[in-house]
Amino acid sequence: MKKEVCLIVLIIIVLASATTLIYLSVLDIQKPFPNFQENLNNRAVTLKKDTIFIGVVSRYPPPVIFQGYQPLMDYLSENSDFKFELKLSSNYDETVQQLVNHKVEAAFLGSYVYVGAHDKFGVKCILKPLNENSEPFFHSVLITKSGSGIHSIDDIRRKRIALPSEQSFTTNWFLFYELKKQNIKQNELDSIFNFSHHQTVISQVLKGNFDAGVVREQIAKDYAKFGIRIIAKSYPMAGSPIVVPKDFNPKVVDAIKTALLNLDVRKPENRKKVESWDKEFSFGFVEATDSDYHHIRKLIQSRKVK
Amino acid sequence: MDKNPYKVGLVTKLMVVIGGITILLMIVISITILFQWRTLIVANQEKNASSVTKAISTSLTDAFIYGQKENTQVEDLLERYINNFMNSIEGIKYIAVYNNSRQILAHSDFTKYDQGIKEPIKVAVMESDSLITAIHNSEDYGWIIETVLPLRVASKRWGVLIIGFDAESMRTEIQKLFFLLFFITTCVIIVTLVVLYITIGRLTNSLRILVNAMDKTDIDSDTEISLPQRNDEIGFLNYRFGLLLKRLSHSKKQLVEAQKQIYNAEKLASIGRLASGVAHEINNPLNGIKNCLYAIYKEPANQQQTKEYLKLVEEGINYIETVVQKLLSFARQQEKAMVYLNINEVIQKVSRLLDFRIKNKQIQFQLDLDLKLPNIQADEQLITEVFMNILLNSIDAVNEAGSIIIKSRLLDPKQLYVSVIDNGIGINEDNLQNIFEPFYTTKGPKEGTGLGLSVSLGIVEAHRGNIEVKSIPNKETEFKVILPIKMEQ
Repeated sequence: MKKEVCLIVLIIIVLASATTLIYLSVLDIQKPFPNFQENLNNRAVTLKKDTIFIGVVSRYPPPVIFQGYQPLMDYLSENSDFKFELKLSSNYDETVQQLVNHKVEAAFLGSYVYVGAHDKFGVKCILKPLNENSEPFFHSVLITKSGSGIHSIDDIRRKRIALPSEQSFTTNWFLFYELKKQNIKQNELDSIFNFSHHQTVISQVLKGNFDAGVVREQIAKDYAKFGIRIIAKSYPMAGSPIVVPKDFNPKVVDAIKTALLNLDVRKPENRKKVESWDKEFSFGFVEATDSDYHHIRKLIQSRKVK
Repeated sequence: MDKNPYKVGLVTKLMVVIGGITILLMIVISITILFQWRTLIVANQEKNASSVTKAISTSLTDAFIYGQKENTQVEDLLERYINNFMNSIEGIKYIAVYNNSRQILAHSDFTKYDQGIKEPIKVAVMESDSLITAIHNSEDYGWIIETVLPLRVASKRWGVLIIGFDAESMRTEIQKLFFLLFFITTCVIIVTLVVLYITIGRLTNSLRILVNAMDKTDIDSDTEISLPQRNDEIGFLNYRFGLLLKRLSHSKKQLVEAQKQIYNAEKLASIGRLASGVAHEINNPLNGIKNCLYAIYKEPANQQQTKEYLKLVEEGINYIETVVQKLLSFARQQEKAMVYLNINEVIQKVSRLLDFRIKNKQIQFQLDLDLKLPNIQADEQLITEVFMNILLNSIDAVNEAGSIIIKSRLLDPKQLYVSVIDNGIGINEDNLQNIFEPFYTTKGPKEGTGLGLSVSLGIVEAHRGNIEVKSIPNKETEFKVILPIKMEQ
């Protein structure tokens, strides 16, 4: 009997000890940080390169510009002897000023801005983007919300129209080419408002604050799933060029051209790489010449005439 | 027989084996659930912390971007954002933003501004390109989930966001889970053991009923054993036990029948052995009668002589009649009848029956009887046969002029014994073990059947008695028949 009692007491002690051990073990949720010592060395190597700043016109909100252009900067850094960094600006003119004042060695300008900057400061376009069909031109489009009752450009009279920057080709095409072509006067519209970014235009149309808007075709396609409908399309025009100052640094220009012209986006490894880039530049580049943008010059001319 | 002759009972064994396995399984299952659940809770909290960190990082990255563009003080923006997050999101202990040189740009706790990152592991962790988490017990904040996420877009990196989320609530949740599982496991184990104990108890109780029934079983009795009807293995066992009892009863009847036949055979053999003595006893008076009748025929006119001789003839015939009566009374089949009888009278009757053979061998025969012996409850016919067999064996064993003593005594208040002691050839030690075996005999083929002692032992045992034998060959042999005074059921 005494032996059995001892056995039971022993079992109870063992179970109590095991329970305590499990209790302490289950409450010990500690999980240490992994070791990342190797990263320090890699970063040190990257920092050794000379930094080249690249400007971008403020066609998108700054975070969106970083999302779309920083991967492109990374690609240039990886494929050249420079480290490329973005330099933002508050408006289109500031980017041109950054370029002229050599605060940036190159800049992504809008085609309309480029023409003005070229004519005024002698900046040069070196590359222009290809579209998804590997063609060197793009379109601007007039959009409306599905079910808005606007089916053609004729229907926009007495409607509220959202536009991007006044210095964008898109705005100028619509106001000084497309309306003129359709024989619609600006005062026949209910209202016109310019927003800083193309995305803001789409957002305003989708929210119903505006009846129609004008944006680049690629952005309209991105938002098609939210109920965006294209009702008019511009003639083909050369895409936004990469522009360098008149007295450009040939090494930098050569580095940019070499890296981007050698980019074959049809290769799967490169395709994956460019997926995060701004859609306008994710299908490759070709060399650009000033004559590619003559049609914009004509547009500006027609505006001045008006 | 002990009530529980076994050391460890079936209940204990089954409780230890089944109960032990059940307890072990429950503990293993509970521990598995506990740790699995803990892993899920921790993973869920880490996931939440990661999601919140990523959401916050988006705003803070934007703050860097806008700060860069507007040339505003980024730290001010960061502090404003951090303050908002601290106020709007529950469970955050602190938010800190470091620049790439691991200096604090903004912190929810202003006392931390003069403190850099000291731990080497954290210095390395801050160089990570993706979100990483750790859980540890911080000196300042207690248990926290610490998330580290670089504030970057592609390779552009502005700094590192570190957020400490409260992990005490998670530990409290795990603690509650532990006690819940502990309570459930304990309850299940107790309920299992109780149910097991009751179930096994019922099972063993059924077996106990069967064992009791076995103990009470008397093959001699025709009383049927009543066992509970069950539709399981125990019921089947009860049924088969009933069948076994029937077979035993049948076998017993056959055995009794066989024993009866053996008794009869042995009795006939005894009668045969008696016959020579009886013949002599009858022959003497017959010769006398013959002589008397011859004298009467010779002198029919001598009436005086005829009268005397006829009286002698009558005496002779009476004597013969007495002898024949004795023989008949021994040989007659009688029903088994338990009566109170005086054992001394039985011994005397047997002695008289064998008187001729005793005298014929000139044996010194002595009866040393305790006349105060109480009557015993026995079958007279059978007991007579026992002493007849034993005395016949002694007579056969002793030589001419040998001695036989029959002694009767009280053994104890409940038993008496009758010893038949002779100084015949005796039985050697090897044969002593076999003398009660049926058909075992050291006599010639016509001198005995070998059944006498076997039958005698059977009779004595049927009376709850025993026969003990001691023998020193050629010196003294004693057959001690021990009989109970009262037959107890």
